[in-house]
Amino acid sequence: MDERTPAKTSECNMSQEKLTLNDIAALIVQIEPTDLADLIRVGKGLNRIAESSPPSVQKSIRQAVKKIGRITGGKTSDPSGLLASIGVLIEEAMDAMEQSTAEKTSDSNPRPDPVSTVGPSAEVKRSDALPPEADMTLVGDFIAESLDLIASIEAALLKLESEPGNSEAVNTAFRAIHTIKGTSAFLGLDSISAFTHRAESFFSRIRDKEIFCSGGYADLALRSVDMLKDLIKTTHNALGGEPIVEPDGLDDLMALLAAPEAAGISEDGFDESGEPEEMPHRLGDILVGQGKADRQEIEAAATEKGDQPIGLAIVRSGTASLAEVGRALRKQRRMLGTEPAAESSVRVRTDRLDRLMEMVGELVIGHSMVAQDETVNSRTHPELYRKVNQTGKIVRQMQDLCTSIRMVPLKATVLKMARLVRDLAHRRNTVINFIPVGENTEIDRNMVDLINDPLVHLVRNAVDHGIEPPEERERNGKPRIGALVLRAFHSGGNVVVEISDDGRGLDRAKIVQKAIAKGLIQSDKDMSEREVIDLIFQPGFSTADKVSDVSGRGVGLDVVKKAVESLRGRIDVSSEFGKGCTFSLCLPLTMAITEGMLVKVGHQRYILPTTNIDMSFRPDGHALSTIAGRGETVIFKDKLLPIFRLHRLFSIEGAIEDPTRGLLIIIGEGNQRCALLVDELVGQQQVVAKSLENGIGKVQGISSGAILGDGRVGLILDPQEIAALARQTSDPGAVREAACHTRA
Amino acid sequence: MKKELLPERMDQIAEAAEEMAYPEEDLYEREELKEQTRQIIVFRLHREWYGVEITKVREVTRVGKITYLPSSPGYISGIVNLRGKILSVTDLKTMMGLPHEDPTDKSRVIAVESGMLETGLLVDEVVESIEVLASKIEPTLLTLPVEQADYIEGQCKIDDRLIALISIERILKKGSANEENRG
Repeated sequence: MDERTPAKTSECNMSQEKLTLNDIAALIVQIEPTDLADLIRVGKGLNRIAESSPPSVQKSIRQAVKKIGRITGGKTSDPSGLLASIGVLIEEAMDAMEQSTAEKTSDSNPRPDPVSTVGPSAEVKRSDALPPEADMTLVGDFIAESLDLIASIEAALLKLESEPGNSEAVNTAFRAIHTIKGTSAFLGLDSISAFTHRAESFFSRIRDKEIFCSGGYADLALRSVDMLKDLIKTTHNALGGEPIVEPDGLDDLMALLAAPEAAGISEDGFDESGEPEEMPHRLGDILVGQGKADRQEIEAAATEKGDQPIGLAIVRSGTASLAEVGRALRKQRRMLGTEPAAESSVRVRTDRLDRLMEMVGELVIGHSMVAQDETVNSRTHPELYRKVNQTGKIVRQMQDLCTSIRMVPLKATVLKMARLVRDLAHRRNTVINFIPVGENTEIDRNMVDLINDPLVHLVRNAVDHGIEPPEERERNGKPRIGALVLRAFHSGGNVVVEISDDGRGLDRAKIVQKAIAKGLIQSDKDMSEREVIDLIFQPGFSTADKVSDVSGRGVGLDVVKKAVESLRGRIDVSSEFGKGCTFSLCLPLTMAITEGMLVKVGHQRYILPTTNIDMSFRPDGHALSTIAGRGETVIFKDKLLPIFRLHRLFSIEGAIEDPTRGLLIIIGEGNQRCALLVDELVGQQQVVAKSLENGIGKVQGISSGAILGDGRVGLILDPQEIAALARQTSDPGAVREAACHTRA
Repeated sequence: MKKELLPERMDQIAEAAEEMAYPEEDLYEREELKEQTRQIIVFRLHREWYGVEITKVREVTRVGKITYLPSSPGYISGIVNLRGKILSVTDLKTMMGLPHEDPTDKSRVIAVESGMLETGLLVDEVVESIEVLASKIEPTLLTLPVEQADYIEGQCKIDDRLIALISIERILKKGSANEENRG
């Protein structure tokens, strides 16, 4: 942390009104031009600072005070613009202040602080010769070394031109400049060390991803390297006895490096390929993202802040220092201009990743075929056996690694939800406290996009139907501000995402009333709490009395349920009337791997996803019955379920016809529930699902294909489609006829 | 220093220059000839000879274990695993109206592709790869039934063998049209 930061947290007690420049910079960003009281307070604080400041600082401060006077006096038509210019002036003053502070301390503290953005710098001394105490051999070595380093910086910067997010290149440039700075300071080459110090601060901002090396920033970085080259050259000339001539524009460039934004330099002209990452726009998120503060502490500060701005609340609670908050505020302001930000990773096209995953899957199968080979297992070749096992370990590790490559944190999605909650609440003129938990939980890259819509729906639902208006909350003895918690965590090979609100909760009476009105049920007699709650997932069900633009567009939770089920997930809801409601989505870690049961029908084998299987059993003869001599049913847990024969649906020959000798598998839910007749269960298997669409087309009842352990292709069944298919052709005779048609 | 050149010498130089500008006529002709040939993979269906253009062929493999695809048209034998990719297998004999036979040791799957579509052609035997002069390829015989004639884009006679050229595009089109009907 920056030890020289003038404002320490302990000093910034507002009650004593001892505002530092950093306090004021933080304040200015948040003040509205109409906050006259705060403006006057800032004005007074500035005057007090000016009194004890060096002249270089005073000038900017006095100008700022004058401008404040114009706003408070109502002598301007554009108070917001004026306020912005005051911000610039205060930043200037801060730079000047830091520079003058640094002049006193730089000798005793030559190591710079890598996170400081506007670092101190010794005033450039115009000397006409090398420092007398300098060792000429050392200076010669320094020049040679520096030229090598500059070459490496140039290479790195050029690399950044083509790959703006390459953090390795940024680090190379940063380290090289740092080395030059250290050595030049040691040798007493003041102008070089002063310049490299500024440049280093600038590069540290790129390294910390505060700014992005593109557009104006990239240009500035290149210019500073050119300047460094000139400086080294003059030093080289000085070795030959020539006087040191400061290169043209050194001062200007140093000023630019200290505050490029003030000169209008930005990342403009940057064109990010692919979709821009959603970046945090909340102050707390920025601080957490920079690793400057802890999420919990920020949340705590946010809840206790009361009326004061969040920035001050964070500073007062001691969560982060003022300088950090000020910096984060500036960053926030920049980000609100919707500039995309960098990612410190290599971008790989997803199809390549998918292909890699596929190939590794093949490798696993290929290896298992070798491992199961008789020669390997005959134990007559112990050496071969050992080697095959060894490669097996490597192959499995590779598979794990491959799966993990595709994993990304849920953070981006969570941030989108945070934004959504804020916007929705704003539109309804309320405030809702959004609390994300576990946003670093990882999930397959392909899943991220797919869970977005269901989550949006649930969040909208919670804001629109769940959380009551503040007045109603107060009447019910709840805090005025509602809370929405989004919690993500891993649980037994699944990712669970929960959305809980502390709103009304589900109202049984209202649900029943609605369901009767919609004709979904006749009465709620004998219906358990669970069954009533499950009604909300029925198509065409919505309890919102009025249709708003927030939710209730006729699409209900049934859409969410379907979406989640298509991801092979589950949705659960738990609710306490008047206390709140929790929707929890249980999703597989990845869509790429399906956990399935291998079932045998005749000579064919199919994979039934484990999530779809309720249970399987061999029925007793007296549990079976037929209706009208055709529709076969089985009594399961006191309920009559239709039996569908997979071998008939798929016209497979040689399958077991007698249900008491085969196996019934209970699949589907609600009125889709049915029993599927198969020959037997072969075993459990993890498979990599592959689309059949290309050139093969959609086959009803089959969701995708997969390569089985023996290299064959297996088909993954889609229980919902099978139930639908069975109902379409519920006349067994018709099915058989259709079978003859397709399979001569 | 300037030197007068003999007229004969000048003619020789002109000739050489012409040769350099227009290299051997033969070679030129041969290249043109190359453009007019087509590389064909010849295979057997029952007792007949067929061919596919090599540019459409991705690879030729032995027939692995074919997985039956439910409710698929009769000319689809099923699907196979082609090094991690799932490939449909088209039974060309069914398509051409030839008698059904179980795959033998000589049977092969020719993986063909055109555009985004691909399939494997189940054939009884892959014989050879030949180069055929484009001019030797004649239009389809008009005596074929309309449906089968649609899959043939031409025929040629090589060493007393009549080879029918299969149109991959039309076969793949048939598959995708069926796909649409089902969807």
